[in-house]
Amino acid sequence: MLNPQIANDVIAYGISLGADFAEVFVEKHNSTNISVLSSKVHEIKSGIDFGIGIRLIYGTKVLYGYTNRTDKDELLRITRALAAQDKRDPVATSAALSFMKNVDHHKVLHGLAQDDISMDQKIQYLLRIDAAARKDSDKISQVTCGVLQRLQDIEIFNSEGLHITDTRNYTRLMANAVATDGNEQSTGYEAPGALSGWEMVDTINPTELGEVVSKQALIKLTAGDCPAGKMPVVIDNGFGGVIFHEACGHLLETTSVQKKASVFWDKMQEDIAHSAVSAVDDGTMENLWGSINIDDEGMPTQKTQLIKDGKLTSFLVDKVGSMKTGFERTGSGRRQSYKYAPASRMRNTYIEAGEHSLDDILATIDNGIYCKKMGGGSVKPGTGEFNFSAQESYLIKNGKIDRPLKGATLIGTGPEVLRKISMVGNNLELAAGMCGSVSGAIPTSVGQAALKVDEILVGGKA
Amino acid sequence: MEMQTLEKIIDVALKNGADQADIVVDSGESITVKSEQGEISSYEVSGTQVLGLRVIKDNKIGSSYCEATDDDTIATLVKQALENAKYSKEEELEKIDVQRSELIDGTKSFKYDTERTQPEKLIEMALMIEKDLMAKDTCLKTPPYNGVGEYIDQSLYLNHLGTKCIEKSKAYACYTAALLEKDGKQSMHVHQSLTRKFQELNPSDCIDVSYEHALGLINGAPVKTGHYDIVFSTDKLAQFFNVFASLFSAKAAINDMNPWKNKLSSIVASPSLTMTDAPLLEKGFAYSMFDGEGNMMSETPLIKDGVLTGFYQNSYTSKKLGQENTFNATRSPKSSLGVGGTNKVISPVEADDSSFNKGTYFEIIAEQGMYSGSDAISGDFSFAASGYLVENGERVRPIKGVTVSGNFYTVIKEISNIGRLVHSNTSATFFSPKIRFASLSVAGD
Repeated sequence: MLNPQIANDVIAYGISLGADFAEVFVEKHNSTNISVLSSKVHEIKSGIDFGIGIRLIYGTKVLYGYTNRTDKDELLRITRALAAQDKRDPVATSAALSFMKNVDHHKVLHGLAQDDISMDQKIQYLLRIDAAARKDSDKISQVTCGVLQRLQDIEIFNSEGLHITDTRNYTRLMANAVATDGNEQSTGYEAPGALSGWEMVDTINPTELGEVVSKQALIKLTAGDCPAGKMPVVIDNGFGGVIFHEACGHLLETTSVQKKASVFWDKMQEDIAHSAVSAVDDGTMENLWGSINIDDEGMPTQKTQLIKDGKLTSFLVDKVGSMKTGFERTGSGRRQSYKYAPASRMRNTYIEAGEHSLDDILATIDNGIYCKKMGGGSVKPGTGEFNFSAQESYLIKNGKIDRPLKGATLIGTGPEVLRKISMVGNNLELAAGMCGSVSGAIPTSVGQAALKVDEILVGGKA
Repeated sequence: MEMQTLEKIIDVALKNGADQADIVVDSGESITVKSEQGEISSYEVSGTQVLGLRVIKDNKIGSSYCEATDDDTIATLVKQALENAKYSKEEELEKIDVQRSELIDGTKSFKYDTERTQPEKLIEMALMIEKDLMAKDTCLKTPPYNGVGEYIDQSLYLNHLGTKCIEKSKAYACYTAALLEKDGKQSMHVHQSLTRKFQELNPSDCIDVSYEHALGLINGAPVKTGHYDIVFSTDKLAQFFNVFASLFSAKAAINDMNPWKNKLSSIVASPSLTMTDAPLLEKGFAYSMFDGEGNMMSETPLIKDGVLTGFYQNSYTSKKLGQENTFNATRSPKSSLGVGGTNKVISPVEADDSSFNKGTYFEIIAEQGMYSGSDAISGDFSFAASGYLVENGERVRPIKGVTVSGNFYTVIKEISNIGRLVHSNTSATFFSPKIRFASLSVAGD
């Protein structure tokens, strides 16, 4: 995408201005988004993002600039502007660029580049979701659904001689149903995705997807108020993993650790969780939403064991994080686009399966909450305080699932909750999401089997 | 990007079969500086633009965008927009029909200070904020977020009828996060200052406010579960209204996604609430001269004495609903025609402070999960909050580790008091007196 000679000249110029490290990141990103609303095609959007990011590192200081232009003069101008305050006599040398062939572990059959699935075929698929969501109840007042397909080509050059390219195909479906009864309204939502082409969609029955979101909305319509206070909570598999993602995953990124802005920054090899908890961040899982071949610094990605039997065993480490903390890089340097310098980020993060069935776990609770599906959440990395909303939840009464609830929010701190996870189930599942942080919004998977937290503050109706 | 180039793209679209076409271009430049442990940890320079094309052919709308502007990419842009139009539904009411002979030119307004600030000044301030904050207390840890930035933005609109609008703005921001650790407890608070001129930035206020609340909340503890009156800080109040902003959207009403769809001229809020959208408010950072269809913007009354008086409308929604166009069309290069607001203004009420402060309320300074824990359709919300318990106007203890829940449609009717002084949020897009919401559910101990 960028003439290697130009990249070489830009890198050499950065190094001549005294940088210890120079990198050029080139990105071209095609996307198509089709949406259906009120049982008709609502809109079809497509576009091309293109740009180049330049990173210079002086010591541990990161200088970053980007532009849409590819001409050498503009790239040299950005480099000069970045180095203006720090330029010095050269202290490093740049190695000759050597193209490294990237191994693609994620087979794609029908990506945007293949262009072999017609627009009509995609639209018909979405209309089947719409019809299925509406068919069983006249209380479903609106359905929206859509599919987003992306093709991201990246090319990375750096002063260590690296020249590597990668292609990433993403496909994500979205289905949303609104149920209405008088003045009451509620919603159901699912959004499966994969590092894959249209073939991911072929594995999902549109009728079932429509029925699932419709059912979620209708159940919530009849849900009662959630009780408030501290109580045991069972969080089911799949998107339930957002609890670990928010409460702990972010605190294990060197982005937080290097600033000592994580409560875990000095806890390596210490027990930070209940012994039932082992957790992994794995970028290598075939065609999974959060997977990558190489990270956005050009390093092949890895499977990283974060916690083993309650003990902290690794952080998520990018290049700068490694320089600042001394830990080895884990292939976790990621960014949304050329507009962001890379930072240590999660990929597919999950708590490993345990041995209990969901029924076994529920049976241990007399009064509590069962969160079948979690919604979004956030965390303050400095303190580990988090919050999650439950998209679908139920009261647990005498070891059994009782009535549906609305408005359940879970709050606490990461370290506290990790120690209160006392049972982990055997039904591990992962789910797709978008994670926002310092280097933008990136595709990540969250996951876990059903697990029991002995006590957590539930925000409901007092 | 040159106007002539954009006119050429519209010509190409028309020559390739489009009946109507328009273009929006957003471009920006920025310099941001972050400091950490007494050194500059990050320095970013950017310059980007993105161009969005909308075409209408046989009453079908297609759109596409691009960031590169070479001939091949531009050709693809036009081709994709026309291709997308082929598969869209027919929509007779969406037209590109604003015809204006005079250019709307917002490039020389008060919004754009032509004087550039030297990067050294930004660097100096970033280092100074961190140093001055750290000097306040030995229990402060290195601020995890600390920096200064200069941002220049330009928006441009052009259509096939010759309507042209351009607007330019500049902003400066500085911010810091006080992260405090005492007796095994941690507390963090972030505060920012946002201005149009560098010399008007107030780093001392960032330091003082972030430290004040980090310290003030460090010994925060849950209150007893029950019902409490709530008063949000202006930042949090702005956020609270923003979560439910689609209630003012005519587009959401058309799409059956707005529970206030049939509530026009009905009571939806307390009679003491009056709220307006004010695009031409000079002190507002959402100041905007033209909307996404090239119309001049003007004030839109939203709620008057508790009665819903209007939705945000564009040319399409107004025709569809048979209501007046409020010229609140939104459109970015990457999004289709929509509606949206600018600066929100809530009117003060003549009241004395003692009446507002009487008794006990929970003053919310910080929250977590207000967006993810709220459902704009059902109106239900539940989020984690911290702040202070206030008795007769005095903060008596910090509160932390509680959740606040309720239903927006109910609480907006149960406002017990509105203050007499208007405050601005730190983004300067929301201007409101303090509002006291009666008896919300708080879960704590």
